Amino acid sequence: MKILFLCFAFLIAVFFEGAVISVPLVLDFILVYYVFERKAWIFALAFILGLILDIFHLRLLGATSIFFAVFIFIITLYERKFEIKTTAFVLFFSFIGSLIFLFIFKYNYVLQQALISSLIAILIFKIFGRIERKNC
Amino acid sequence: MKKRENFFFTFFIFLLISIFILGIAKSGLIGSALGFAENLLEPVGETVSGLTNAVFGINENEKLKKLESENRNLQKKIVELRSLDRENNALRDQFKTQYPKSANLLPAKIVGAQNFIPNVTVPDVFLLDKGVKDGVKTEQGVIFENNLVGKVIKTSVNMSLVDVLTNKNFSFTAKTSKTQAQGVIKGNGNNEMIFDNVLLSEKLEDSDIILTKGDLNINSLGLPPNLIVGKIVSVDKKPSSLFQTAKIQSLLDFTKLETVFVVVQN
Repeated sequence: MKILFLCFAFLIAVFFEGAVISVPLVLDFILVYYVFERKAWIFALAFILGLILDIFHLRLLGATSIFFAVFIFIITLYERKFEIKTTAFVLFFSFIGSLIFLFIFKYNYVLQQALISSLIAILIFKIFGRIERKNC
Repeated sequence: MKKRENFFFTFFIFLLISIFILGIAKSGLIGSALGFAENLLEPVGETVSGLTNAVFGINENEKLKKLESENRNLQKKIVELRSLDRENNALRDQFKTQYPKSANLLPAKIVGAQNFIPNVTVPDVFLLDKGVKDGVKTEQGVIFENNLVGKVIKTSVNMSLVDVLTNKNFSFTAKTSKTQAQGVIKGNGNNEMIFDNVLLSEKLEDSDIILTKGDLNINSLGLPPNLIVGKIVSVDKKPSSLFQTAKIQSLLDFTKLETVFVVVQN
């Protein structure tokens, strides 16, 4: 059930971000998923999703994958210093990550979109938390 | 400790792979592979974009009809026929328009229109289903009837990215249709533009139409002249300033566009 939800969620996120909205949904999903699972293969997932987003947006292939990889790596560095499975951590890092992502890739409404992105990240965090509690 | 090493190792592997792919993408060696991937993803993007437009654009009557289970299939067929009809009307209207000449235009479907809030904010960029193999080049203008939509900024084998003219990164020279006052159009986001750098001695009137001045380069790439940009909604003229400005609104509803035309020859 969890795997199905994850696959469906990531697919929806990447296709929505690719064709419809500019809010970095995939970044939020990757952040929240890593916060819960902390598995090394998140890098592979981030790599593939980054490539798909680059194809949709006609960006230089690999650019988004590099950003996602570095983003997750920075989170792993903070893992030892902070408790990362908290709302505050997700809110802060999704906001900062989205802000930098939107700035680097030259989107408009950077601040507003980063705020919306962090709220979406919190929502995804709560949903993941609920699914995890049901599976326990 | 072993888990941490595993993370660092995995991170470095994927970082190196990403940098490698970035390098070969920049060199242009993976054009055909990229084209294949675009062909796979383009219908998905078009479907998602179309579904979102249908959901956000749906009115109460259509909502009620769709809820009736026995009319569901008929409704789906009606939507498909209307889509074909709109495409035909767009093509028919375009080819009735004398300028630019229809032979110089390439019809292209909008397969992606990223924006902050779909159907509320205006998209900043359009993704079209035509690319280098169809003759699209960067800097080519994109129009609908004789209204300017934007300019091609990136191309790949099968797709191209267009900066919509209200995008904050987009600027070009323009003139008024009544008084021929010249200035620079700068995108201001969300269906608004600023007509800037207009001399104080020039006359700007409300509701005057703004046209492109034309900025074709030696390769005939760029915006053709005399395309409709929009109309003046307000004028800001201060004697203490060097220039006067005006707010411009496009005559097009960018959220409703489905087919546009790339000016492939000037």
